[in-house]
Amino acid sequence: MAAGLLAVVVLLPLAAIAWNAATPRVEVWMHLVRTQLGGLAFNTVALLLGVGALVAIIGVGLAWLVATRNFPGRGFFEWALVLPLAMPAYVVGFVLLGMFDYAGPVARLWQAIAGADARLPDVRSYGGVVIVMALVYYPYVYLLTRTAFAERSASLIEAARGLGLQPRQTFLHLAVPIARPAIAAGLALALMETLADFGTVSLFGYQTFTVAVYRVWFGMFDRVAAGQLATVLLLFAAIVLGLERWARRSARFSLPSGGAAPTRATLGRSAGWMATGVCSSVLGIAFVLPTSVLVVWSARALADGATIQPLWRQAANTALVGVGAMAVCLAAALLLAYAARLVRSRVIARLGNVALLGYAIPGTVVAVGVIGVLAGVDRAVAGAADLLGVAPPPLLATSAIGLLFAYVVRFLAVSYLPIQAGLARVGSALDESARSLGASPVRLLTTVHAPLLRGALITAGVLVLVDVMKELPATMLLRPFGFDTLAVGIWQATTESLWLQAAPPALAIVIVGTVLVLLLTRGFGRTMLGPVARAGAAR
Amino acid sequence: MSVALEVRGLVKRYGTHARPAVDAVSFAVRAGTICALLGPSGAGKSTLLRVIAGFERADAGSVVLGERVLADEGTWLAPEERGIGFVHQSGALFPHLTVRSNVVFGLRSESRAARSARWQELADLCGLAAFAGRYPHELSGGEQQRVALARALARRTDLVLLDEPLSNVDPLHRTALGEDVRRILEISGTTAVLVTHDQEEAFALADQVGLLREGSLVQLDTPERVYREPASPFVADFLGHATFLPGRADDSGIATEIGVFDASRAHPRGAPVDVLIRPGDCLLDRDADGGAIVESAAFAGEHWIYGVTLASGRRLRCDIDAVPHAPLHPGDRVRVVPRSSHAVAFLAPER
Repeated sequence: MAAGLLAVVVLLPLAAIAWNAATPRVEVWMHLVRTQLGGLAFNTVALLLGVGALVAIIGVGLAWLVATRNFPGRGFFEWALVLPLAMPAYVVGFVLLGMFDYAGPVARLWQAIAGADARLPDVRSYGGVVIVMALVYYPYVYLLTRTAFAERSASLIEAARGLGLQPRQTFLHLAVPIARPAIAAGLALALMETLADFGTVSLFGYQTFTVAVYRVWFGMFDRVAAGQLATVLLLFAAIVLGLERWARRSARFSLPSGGAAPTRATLGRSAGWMATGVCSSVLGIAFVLPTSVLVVWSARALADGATIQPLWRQAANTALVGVGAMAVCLAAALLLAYAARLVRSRVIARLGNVALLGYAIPGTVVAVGVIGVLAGVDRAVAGAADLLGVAPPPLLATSAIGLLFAYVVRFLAVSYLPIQAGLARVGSALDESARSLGASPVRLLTTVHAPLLRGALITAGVLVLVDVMKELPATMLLRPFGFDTLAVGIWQATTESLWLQAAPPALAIVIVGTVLVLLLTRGFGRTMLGPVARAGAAR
Repeated sequence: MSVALEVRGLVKRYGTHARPAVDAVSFAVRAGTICALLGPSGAGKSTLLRVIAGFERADAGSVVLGERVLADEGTWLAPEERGIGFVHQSGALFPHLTVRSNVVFGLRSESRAARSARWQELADLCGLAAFAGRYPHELSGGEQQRVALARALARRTDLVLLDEPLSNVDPLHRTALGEDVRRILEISGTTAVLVTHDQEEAFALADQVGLLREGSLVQLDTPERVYREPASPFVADFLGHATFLPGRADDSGIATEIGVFDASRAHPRGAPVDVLIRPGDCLLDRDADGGAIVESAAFAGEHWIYGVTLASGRRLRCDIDAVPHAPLHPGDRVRVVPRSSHAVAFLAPER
């Protein structure tokens, strides 16, 4: 019951958007079609195709190298190649812009080499956007595909080699088809991020729907047109989601489990160092270089007398909304997961699945939807207050409630999936054993579920925290007046090309993000989960 | 001996399936004995066990444990109120608790000293003393099952239910674990019902074996009697290799192409019947004029397994002790000699 209500609440903003789509304003649409719709659609599709292709090549290639080959530094790259996940795309983007700026270090170096009139290719271009996004989003494909390569297909790949297939044939005809569901899932995540991105595209002046919604909203204060544009963006998200389902359609291969860990072929001396070189370049460009630049710029910004005061305020605000969203998301996810487990009703399962769509929906769209809902509530409340003759309460639409609401809609899935997976691992046999041993439901929760779910809860919480910290468009559209977060701070500085000033908050996000990513991919398995992780590892 | 568990007319239906998973099953288990429910997968054995445990609600019927009604028309006790121990197929040990904590999990209401004493008893009985501080994933499958059994016994329940207790244990250790389980249950005097699809497991562990087919209990008897006197061709076939030779019942017995048998059951005179022949029921005599030909010969350690084609073209399997025996070869002509004139015959289905 409560779970159903929760699902409905989460769905409301989406319903508001859908309502927009169902009630088109002809004159608005005519205007949009005349002026920008075609260009926006073309740009968005081109961006998805470019980023998708590059992410697939980098992600699958690196996963294959790391999972099946031995080369110097392999063990290090195995986890380090995930690190770019801690970088918001707009941070890598503005670092790149700063470096290649007319007066930037790269440009000056280039002029010193090639003469004063030499010009670099313009990074504020389609190519620039695609490269930045691919560098930041490839870890989704890398992470999922690596697991598929490493665990699942090991025995099959050995069988293929026994049948005389060359490594290259094995890769193309066996490993990639087997990993297809993983690749599709990774690509879908990367493309959803691409679609949702607002910071990078607006920095690079590349017109997509997210930028258009924002501009129409703040530039023209035309919420109707913004809502209409948001429906198109929603359509794109649905298409990406549909493509992922389609790519997986029949791909429920039963894969031989168990067996020995795959033996990795050791690459020859030169090939081995080449592999090391490839991995280092990706990691260097996507993570090490931007981070180093941020450190240098932050130091200079602080030395130049930039005050640390706003930084603290932004950090505190970020922590506030992050922890708030995390708490609400975890509570909601637990509620949904338990409802699905206990009630086993199809309706609840469906509602849950739909509520999880939030992650596929760009922050811009969610924000527009949330405003729609809250404005409706505000109108109703004001109407009621008017009737009763009392002063209307403060507006919801411009309060932090809206921000929190949007984060929950968008990131519920992020917290739900680990919790659901964790709960699924607590098999029903454990529940039954505990009950046949006389344990009451309460004792079952406290002595069996709580300790077993701890790891999943930590994972879920950390994921929400990282995502809230990085989320830019929903924050920009919904924040109460004057409420700055780290992400907003970066964006405001970069829109004025104040690269140095953008560096300290960006560095803060990167540091926190890196620590959390490291915790998730490395530390947790050994320290924080204790016996449970060991039990999992032993299986 | 008194009856410990009595199940009457139990029916369990899932969704809108036409056939119930458990269809009007009734049986009783005497106190201190072990009953095995045997059947192919999908026969409803696990469902039956879960209904008795209270994990599932029956649609009809009653479950009575000793004097206590656990479930009938108006009563339904939750699993935690039933006082029935349950051992899952995989053990279902709590992964975050040590072996000792797992075993004493159900003893929360008892004093520390009582818990400690009970742990000592069970550790000795089940051979767990060395594992006290270990976690489940550090144990082998067989060790995990012993812990699960100890945990189920800890509360001195009147009844323990075991769902395929040996199936997750590697074959090498299965026999030894089976002996352990039987010994532990006997020493503790516990009544037990176990479910399995492996007849050897059922025979090794149980005092009584119940055969389930499509939700119905088709026979319940001692292991020897269900094997020797199966109630139906299905039971005969399920419990081991079975060949059915056509024959005809008359006054002198049942005539088949390998000889005349006494029938253990009365059949209408002249009725066509099928006689059950087990691999160990016949000897093979080397005989150049014999009507049967050896088709295949496989050495199996203690015995040879021969495939023989009878004059009628029917195939028969014969297992012959290897020791006082000169091996036969494919192509050898033989005569098939029944070792006993006693046999089980079933009325042949309409042909």
